Amino acid sequence: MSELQFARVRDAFHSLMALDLAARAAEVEALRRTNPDLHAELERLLSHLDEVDLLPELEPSRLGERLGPFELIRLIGSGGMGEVYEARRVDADFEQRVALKMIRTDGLSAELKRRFVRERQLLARLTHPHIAHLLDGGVDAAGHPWLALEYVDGLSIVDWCNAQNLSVSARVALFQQVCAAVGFAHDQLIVHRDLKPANVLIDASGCAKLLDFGIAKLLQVDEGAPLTALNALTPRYAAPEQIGAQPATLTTDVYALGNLLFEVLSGGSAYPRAQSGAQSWAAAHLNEAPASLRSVALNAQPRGVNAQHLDHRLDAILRRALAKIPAKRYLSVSALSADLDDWLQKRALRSGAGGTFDDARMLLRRYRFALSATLLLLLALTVGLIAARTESAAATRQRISAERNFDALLSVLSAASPRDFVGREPLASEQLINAAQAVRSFVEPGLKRRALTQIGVGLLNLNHQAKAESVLGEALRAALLERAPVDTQLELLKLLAYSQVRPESLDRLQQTAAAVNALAQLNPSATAIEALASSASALSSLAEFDAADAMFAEMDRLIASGVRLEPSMAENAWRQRARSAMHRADGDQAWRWWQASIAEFDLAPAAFSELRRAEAWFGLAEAAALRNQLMQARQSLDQARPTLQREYSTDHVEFAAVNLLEARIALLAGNPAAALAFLGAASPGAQGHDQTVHSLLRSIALAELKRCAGAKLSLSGADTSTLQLPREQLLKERAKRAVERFCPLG
Amino acid sequence: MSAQNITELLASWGAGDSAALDELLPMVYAELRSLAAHELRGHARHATLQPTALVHDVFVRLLGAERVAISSRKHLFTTAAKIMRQILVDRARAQSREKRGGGSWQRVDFIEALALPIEPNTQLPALTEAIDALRKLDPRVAEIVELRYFVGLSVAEVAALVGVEERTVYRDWALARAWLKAELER
Repeated sequence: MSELQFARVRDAFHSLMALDLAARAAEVEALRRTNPDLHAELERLLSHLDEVDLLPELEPSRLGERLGPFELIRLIGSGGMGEVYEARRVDADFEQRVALKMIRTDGLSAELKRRFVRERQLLARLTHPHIAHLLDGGVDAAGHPWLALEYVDGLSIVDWCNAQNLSVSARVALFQQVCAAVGFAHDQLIVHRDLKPANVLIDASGCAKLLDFGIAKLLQVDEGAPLTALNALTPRYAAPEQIGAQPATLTTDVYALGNLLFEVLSGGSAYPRAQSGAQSWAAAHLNEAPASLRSVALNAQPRGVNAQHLDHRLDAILRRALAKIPAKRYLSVSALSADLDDWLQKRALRSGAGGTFDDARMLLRRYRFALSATLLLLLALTVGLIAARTESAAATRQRISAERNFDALLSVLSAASPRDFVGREPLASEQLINAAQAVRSFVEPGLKRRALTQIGVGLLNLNHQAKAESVLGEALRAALLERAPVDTQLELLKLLAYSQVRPESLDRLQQTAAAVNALAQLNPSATAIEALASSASALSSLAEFDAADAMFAEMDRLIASGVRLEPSMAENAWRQRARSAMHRADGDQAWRWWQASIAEFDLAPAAFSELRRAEAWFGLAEAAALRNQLMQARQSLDQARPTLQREYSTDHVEFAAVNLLEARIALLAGNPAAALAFLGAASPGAQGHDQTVHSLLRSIALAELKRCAGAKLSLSGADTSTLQLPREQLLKERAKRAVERFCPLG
Repeated sequence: MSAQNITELLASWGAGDSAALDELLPMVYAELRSLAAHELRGHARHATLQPTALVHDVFVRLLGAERVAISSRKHLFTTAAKIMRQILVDRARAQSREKRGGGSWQRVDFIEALALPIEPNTQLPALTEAIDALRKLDPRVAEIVELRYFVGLSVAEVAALVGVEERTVYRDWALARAWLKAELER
């Protein structure tokens, strides 16, 4: 930096000092755009600014001076409000050491003196083991107020914790003393307003003592006036509303406690950028999100703290305490204290701040599986059981089992935080498998079955068929134990069939289908129809067309006999038939059934989601492509594309299918280059069948472009060992013909 | 403290007893302070500044000169600041050499005794280097800092001495302290 630059900084600094804190922050913020260098330098300076330096001074040494019944012995230090002396009582026959605070104001008017006395009397009634008692107070000869407090010989809470090598739990436990004190004062409607480490001392016996209660209020000459440096605010520990010159309330102290707890646990501020000087404290409190405890602790390394113990639940507690908007914080200190207690006891946080519904919802938004609504419903049901008022013996048993299940579920959900998976994306399937593990210990079969069912659905959505099969199998066993109604069993069988669409599980699928057939006879319901449809579709995916046809026939019979189908169930049935037809490469039939499916949408528009419609249009497009109907294929795909793009992430398996279809359509349109482009996009997610189709389409496109080496490679690379569905056989024939035609030699 | 005592102290200090300086310096400071206060009240405006014999003698010995020519009031105090700064830094270095383990930095007695506004736990050598860096950017601000830190002058005294408004001194003081803190944290 040059002299000239410093001169500019100095000028800017001087003008800023003439403003109150909020205006100051605004001015500095405005500079961010117009003059970033100056802005950075000013932020740095402001973050190191000690407001005390700007306050008018008192006479240097007052040692030996008499104030009321006390004599000043030595200067302990100078705080935000003035100097603090150690003093002793001289007029009594007992020894008393006090801390005497001189308060810097420009002298009090008569009215303010009266107010001072009144408030002081209020504060003097704050007797609590963890609050340094206000003993006396007065006004000196020059009109400056002073206060005498119980003398506490101790270290600030931060220093104490480090000196004693306290662990995270021990620190939290110690902090509860602080909460007790603040809560007590709040009950007397006294707000501290200036909670910071220096005001929380721990004496030699490990007992916390809070200093300076309510003194900030004593000093505020005019409640409505903007806060200037003279109004004794420590920027590092100020709450956003204090910076914005709003009146302080109980939640202001909650914010301060959050700040304090953060520093106690992590050894550094919740706002590391402000601490390092890259940002002003005001800007940090107003705009910046708090850092994670662990990240700060790993940096600061407070003694005795194992950063691994600073888990996301603690982070959640602190985030709530440090919310910018007061109404979003803990509304009382006792609520904060209760959550801390829950954390200490390793229970679910009763405020729900973290690890229960919040984490579940967060997970669900990210991974989009059907688990959400139904599992939350499940949780709600268990909660409902817990809340039962009149208790018979049976109800008690139910309640106890529900509570245990509830706890197990909550602990699973709470453990399943993405943050636990350091450095990598947690697989949703891992979460679900963990959940299944926990659910196995459930006591009540009905609950167990429901939970396992939902988990199975989630796994299906993620295409983890094998795992889904095992989980759903267990659900079925639980259903039998529970003596669940036939419809419930059919529902499970339906899902089980979906999970068994793998060559290696053909035997088991056939067993499932047989069970469905049997139960459908017993219980000809809509669910039976669904189960028949899904088993049939599964069978046809594995090329068991005869068995599939038999089941479809049975389904037709049930429908004809008058079993009422809801639109969504009907649509599902048509969908399954359409898919089956596609597997058989019967484009005309597929076309017919997809149209039937789409017709259901018009019958009951509200019953269907956008995605479902899009899937039907997509199916129609595939059928059209199979029939070589370019226009219809294009139009149908255009209907489906926007929704599919929105709902599926681009590496989702479903999306790979979209790209494959685009490639097919491009080939139909005689544009092999475009087809290659789509195939290039498709490969990551493709598995199994799709991989085969991918290679075959690729070979066709390459052959048409006369890139013969690649074409032949792709053709031979098409995995011919996978299931030879008619559709794929057709495609393979086509690919062979293309290569022969365009690449005759070798 | 009687005149005789002072003479004795000066003598023993001259004879090589450095502990005597410990006793003398507070007195020197008291003198300087009362001079400054005197200054402030405007009594001495018309008279040429004559440091007391004590101050003069101490300065002479510390500066190793035959006679100390004080050209102005400001010069007196800035010289005192330089001397004191040197003494404090020397002591700090000596003390840190003696100390074996880590732990918190001990406050130098002088700072406490003379009620200088230097924070406990300040690394003095680092501080003085930082002040030198500051002086290159703005000599006046650095001067204010040194007068306050090493001579313990009040804001009012500094304002009178340097010839600016008190409000300016407050702000420059705050600026300097913030800047120094930021420097020391690097």
